[in-house]
Amino acid sequence: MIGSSTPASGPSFAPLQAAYDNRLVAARLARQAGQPVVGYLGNTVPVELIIATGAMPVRIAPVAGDPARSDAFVEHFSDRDTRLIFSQYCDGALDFLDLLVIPRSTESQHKLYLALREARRTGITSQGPALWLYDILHTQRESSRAYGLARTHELVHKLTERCGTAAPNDATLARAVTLTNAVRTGLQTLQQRRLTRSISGRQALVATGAMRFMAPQAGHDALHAWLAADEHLPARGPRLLVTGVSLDHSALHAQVEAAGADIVCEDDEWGTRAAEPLVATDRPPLEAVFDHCFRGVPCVRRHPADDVDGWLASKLDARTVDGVLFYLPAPEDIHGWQFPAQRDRVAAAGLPWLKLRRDARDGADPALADFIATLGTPAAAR
Amino acid sequence: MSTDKQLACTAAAGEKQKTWFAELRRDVFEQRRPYAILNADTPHDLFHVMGVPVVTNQWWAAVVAAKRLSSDYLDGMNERGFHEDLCRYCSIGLASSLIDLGERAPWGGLPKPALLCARLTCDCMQQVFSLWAQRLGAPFFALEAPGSMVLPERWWELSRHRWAELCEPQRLDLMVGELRELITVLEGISGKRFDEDELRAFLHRVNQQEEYFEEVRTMIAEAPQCPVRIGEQITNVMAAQWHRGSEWALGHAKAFRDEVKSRVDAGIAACPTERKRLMWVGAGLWHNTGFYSAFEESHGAAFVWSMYLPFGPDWYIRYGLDDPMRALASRVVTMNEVLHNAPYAPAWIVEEAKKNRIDGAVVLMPKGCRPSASGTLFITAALEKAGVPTLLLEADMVDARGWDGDAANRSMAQFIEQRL
Repeated sequence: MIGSSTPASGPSFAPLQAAYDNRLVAARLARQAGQPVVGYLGNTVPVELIIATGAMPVRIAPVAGDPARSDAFVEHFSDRDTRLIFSQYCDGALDFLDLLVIPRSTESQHKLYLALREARRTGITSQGPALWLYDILHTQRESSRAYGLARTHELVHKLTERCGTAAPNDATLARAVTLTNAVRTGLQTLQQRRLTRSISGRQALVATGAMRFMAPQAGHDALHAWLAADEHLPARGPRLLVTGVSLDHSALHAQVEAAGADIVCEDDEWGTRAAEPLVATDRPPLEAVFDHCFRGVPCVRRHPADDVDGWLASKLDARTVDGVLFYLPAPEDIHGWQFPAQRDRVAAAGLPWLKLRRDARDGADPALADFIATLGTPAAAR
Repeated sequence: MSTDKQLACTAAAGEKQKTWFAELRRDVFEQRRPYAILNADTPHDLFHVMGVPVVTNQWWAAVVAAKRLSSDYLDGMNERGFHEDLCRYCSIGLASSLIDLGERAPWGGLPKPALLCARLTCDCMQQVFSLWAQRLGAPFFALEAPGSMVLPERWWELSRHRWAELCEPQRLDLMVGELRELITVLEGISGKRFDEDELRAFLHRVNQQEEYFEEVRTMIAEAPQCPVRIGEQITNVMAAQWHRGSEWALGHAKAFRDEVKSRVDAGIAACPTERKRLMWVGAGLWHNTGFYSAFEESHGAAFVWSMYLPFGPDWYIRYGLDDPMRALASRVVTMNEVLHNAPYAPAWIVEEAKKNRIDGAVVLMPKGCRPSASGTLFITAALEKAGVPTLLLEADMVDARGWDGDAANRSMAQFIEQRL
């Protein structure tokens, strides 16, 4: 796994690192033990529904591998994860899943759903799990909410049909919410410790990401055990915030740490923003988990997108960070629209910044080390 | 290569666009009349019915590209920090509002609109239109683009009479609701009360207009040689589409039909040396439309088909207008998708290739417009499987900066000589 291995930091971290590096292992074991397994893409599929159905949720997020199988059908300038997932699906790597749920939360996801359907229809592959488009919309209109809520009920029906289990009820859903909220609470603790420099950015990213690949209870237990064990690698050097393309791998964090700095927060759902917000508990749980995905989590299709700017702006404080990385590797074509305004906002806050157009998995940008060298040592790290 | 206009209609269509835009600027600046900037796949019909003139974003991009100004705008965007991998086709309009080219701005540039409207198809749409709306100080109305789980391969057999089957009911419900919201906004802008009967009559005229295009597309498919180049097909069809439902558009569609018919009856071919019939798959190559006729003299290869003409009758026609809002919603809710996404696009384009006796296809794969690019490989595979040799051309429809004319010409020549 590119850039994922962190320096040894005690046995409590090992299961988190293992799950992060070998992302389908826990799910395969669950399937072998007879538990249904449901794969999903992105951060807008309500995993609580999958948990309440009695299945194990696993996020499908390959970060390395050979996308060659996709070359004849998915354009070479498509997102790398789209090409990798298409290849995995056609090669049979996902056959053990009972269902693959793809949300309509990015256009890449939507195109991938269509491409996989076409691959099955035209005989490019006869393999692969059943597909389900979770047609959640993200304009913050009441009609979009009603539409998405109806699609959520359909998803519940599909999950129970594919998994052969009983439909979740309010009680089972509430228990699932309690579990995932406990994970989020743990991640909030983790984020606090990052800011006080007691946990490195790379470890934090790995631990956060591992929650997507472990059985929910096992992930919860492993996270809290590690937090309690005090076996963390402390952060050192200048504190960086990274924004732009979501980091589903730790290559950039590794490069930053090798250059003597630390990423203390990520403006994305694989990092810092995975911890927030909690799923509400003051309304029917199905509505609560839907609303969490509809308006609670970061999403590039959310419209209007004021809250995203608000999050970034809230972190642009010299007491929190010493610099900002804009991670915009080719072929990204979304976050770059916000770059000029965000760059100006960062500059107005008196913070230095660096734009990175190279995919960190292909090696460090030559400008990264030089940029970090200009930052000096923050007071908090001395 | 010949870029001469062969049809009188073509000159009339070009003149109409130019005079219309000049009138629009005069109306907006002098009489403070409201107008709107819309993406091509939005319900222009409602704006027309409500008396709000529209400028189509993609039409404007084509105008900019044809006037060889896209490089100035796109370089300017890059200088402002918008990186080079961002969408170009849909953002040229934004660029023309951010970057002042002074007297070089096409036709004096875009005036301030009362509204901007786009469907949120690709993820950049809300980014581009939000920035544009902010720049122009006008509101942005976003229409959702729900996904489809029912994807009938032969959609064109359903779209005219059985459109309710083609678009899932929940998607239609959603779109009708959004159209009603949009009408409320338009009532505020225009001061006019929406009349559903007026929309029904309007859509009926659109059907009539597209029926003329249906006749033209059939004549082109069946004539021994193509009577009208695709460049002129596009000019005539799209001028009418942008003004669809108007008396001018209906009259123009009829005149276009009559002129093509007279050419067919007289045995006139656009390219008398036509030996190989080509189809152009994808959006137009707006920065170099001469490319379409560049291989007529040298190879007897003529582009006879592009999506712009047949898409009109196959997608715009909606019979059964008892509920005109729902009929309109069915056109809007999947509009762009049928042109690009599998299985819709591959199946339709293969069917069209057969009908038009196509010898070879050229598929545009524009890196700078992901929705247009995605699906091109499935289209290519389907055409090849159907026995239609296909050339993938990686180029942008409006950005001439990456266009290597010599290389493209060599690829085309090699393709024609070796595969057709």
